[in-house]
Amino acid sequence: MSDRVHPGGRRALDGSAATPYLLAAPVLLYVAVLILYPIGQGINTSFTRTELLSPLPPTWVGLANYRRLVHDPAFWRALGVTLTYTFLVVTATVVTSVLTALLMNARFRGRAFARAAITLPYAVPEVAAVLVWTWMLSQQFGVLNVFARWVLPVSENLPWLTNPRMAMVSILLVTLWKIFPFYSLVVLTAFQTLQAELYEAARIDGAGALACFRHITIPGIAPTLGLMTLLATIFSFRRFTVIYLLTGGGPADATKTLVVSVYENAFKFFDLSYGSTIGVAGLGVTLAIAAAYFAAQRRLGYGEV
Amino acid sequence: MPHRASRRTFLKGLAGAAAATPIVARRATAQTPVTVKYMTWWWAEKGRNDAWRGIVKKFHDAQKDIRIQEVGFPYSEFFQRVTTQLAGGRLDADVLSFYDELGIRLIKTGALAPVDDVVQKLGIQEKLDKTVHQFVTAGGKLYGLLGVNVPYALIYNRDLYQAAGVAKAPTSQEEYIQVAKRLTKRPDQFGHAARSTMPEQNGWWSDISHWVMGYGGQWVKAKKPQLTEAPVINAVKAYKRLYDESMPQGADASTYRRMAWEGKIAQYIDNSANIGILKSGNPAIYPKIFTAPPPWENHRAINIPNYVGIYAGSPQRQAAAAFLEFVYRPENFQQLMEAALDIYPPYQGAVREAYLKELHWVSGYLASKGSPIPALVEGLESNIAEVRQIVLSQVSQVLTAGKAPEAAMADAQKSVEELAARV
Repeated sequence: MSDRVHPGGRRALDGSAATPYLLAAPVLLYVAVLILYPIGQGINTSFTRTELLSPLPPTWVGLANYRRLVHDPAFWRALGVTLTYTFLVVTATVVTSVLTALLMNARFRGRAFARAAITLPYAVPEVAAVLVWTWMLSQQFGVLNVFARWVLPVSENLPWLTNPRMAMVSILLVTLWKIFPFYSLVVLTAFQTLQAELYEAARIDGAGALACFRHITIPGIAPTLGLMTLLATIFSFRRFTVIYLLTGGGPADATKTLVVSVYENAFKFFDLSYGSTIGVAGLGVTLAIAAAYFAAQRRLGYGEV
Repeated sequence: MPHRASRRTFLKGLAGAAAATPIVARRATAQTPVTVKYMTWWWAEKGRNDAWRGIVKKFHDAQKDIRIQEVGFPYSEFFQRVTTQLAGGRLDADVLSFYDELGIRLIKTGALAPVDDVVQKLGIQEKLDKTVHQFVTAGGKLYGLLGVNVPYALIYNRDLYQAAGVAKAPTSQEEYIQVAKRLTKRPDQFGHAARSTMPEQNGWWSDISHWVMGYGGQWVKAKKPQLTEAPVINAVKAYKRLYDESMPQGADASTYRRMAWEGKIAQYIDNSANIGILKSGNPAIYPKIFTAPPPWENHRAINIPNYVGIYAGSPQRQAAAAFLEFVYRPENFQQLMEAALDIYPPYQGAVREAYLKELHWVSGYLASKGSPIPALVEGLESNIAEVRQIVLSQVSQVLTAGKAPEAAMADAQKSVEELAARV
């Protein structure tokens, strides 16, 4: 639609210096109000003593909350759990989504059905899905133990959610089940942008399927995989629903991540300031990971893409 | 706005004259009825929900001007939902139930309105149970009325006892643990059930607190944690043995209570509200259910007083007060208690002696010597959640990760000492 159609109403958008700012204004406003302001508030709160639901006003305590954080073993344990969980989720997600995307990209009978089936978990509401999983993983009545007894040499029901190691495996499984469809679709999209001519040329040169995958597919989808890894890392850092509803951070704090700690401190112990401090620390770690990603991207030359 | 003014005037009249003129006698007005939102976990509690619905129906039948709307979340989520809503600026309720720990927080926040007027109109000031109302009294004002006080005792299934040759209920910790083991035939039958997972921290805290009290201890005394003392260590060891030998591990309360009414739990220590749950779940099991005092010499166990109060920010405070006044009339509260199988009245005259005598299972609860949970964390009452989190995280390590009780409680002691120094 040209300016001529609406000559009066489009004067501000006629390519003047203000046009880019006007176009960006809604997004900038959104970011400022819903992202930057809360982050700023969180940082500010971390330098105060603020009790949730207290009639007393916040008091400035400087770095006291950060000193407490540094000497708090619970924080370091939660950071360790978060990093472990994130590493496991990201690795499993990347591998699973590449494999399922390969499957969805292949031509076979029933492909449409397979694609729909694979993407189904992503469509299920998260809370409902986790509650169903809680039942499935129940040590006493869970259907997973019925399957486990069929395929594994176990005489007792497996403590999916009550053993520290198995609880981590369980939240990993549920997380993966919930999120991999999204990443599979992303990888599938990347696959479909690869040029068929490259594969044809490689085959003429005698390359097999594995060589094609290694030398054409992987380099072709590498930027997508990189971005996907970054997103999966950030999302894993801040994942709450699956973990909190399945295990509440237990047993023995084995699944207590930073986000669960933030929630506990702020809304269970009413210590909003210390919850904010943990949140700020988590934000710092996430920013460091994002910075490392962009540095690596620039170094590998994906930055210009 | 004339419409609003007339409603306010009407409500003032309603609350003021309710004692003298029964609401039953009121005639319907042409005005839209006032809706009072009643927020409680009891709507989700089998047996008690029907008891309350019966009273609400009676209230609706008695007058046309106030309608009660159910708002509720399960008990395990209630504290969080209420505090999160308040942190957001407003509670979506006019009347709400709360237990001691939540009440302390609500009063501190100024979220509750005094109910002294209701008490005065009912004329029960002198009859109120002072012990249970001490946690909802501040600055000489009363902020809640006892809805139900649930003492804890040993519940057992007589048929399962007889089948296993158990002649009488255990009377010591060791005997209980031995009997529990004898009654366990995994995965079909268990000799004990209790909570043991972090999503059910509040209930788990109650379940383990009995054992600490049974061994003669408490968690915190005068702001000094007692976690490395013998009573606490012995309690954790006993819990560990029961967890390993006799419990459906990881089962939440609703699951094992269901198992109990299905006849799969032979005995457990739980509150009196359970009897109503078991009866509602399976009326056939009711005659087989009996209770005994907590299985230790001092018969101590916690009790959990649950109150009903009025949200201070409610625009319908007068209508809410009129509802409470109706509910707490002796004849109505007696009906409520009997329908919910409750045994502990908020004031003298709110329970019929004849009703108590009819209950075949009541003796264990009457012999139980209860203390509310805040009394067990003396000096850190406002930080119960944090103490609980610290202690249960360590108990969890004992139960599921093989940590020694002494080492776990030493770590917990250090953390609670740090907390006590900080607050």
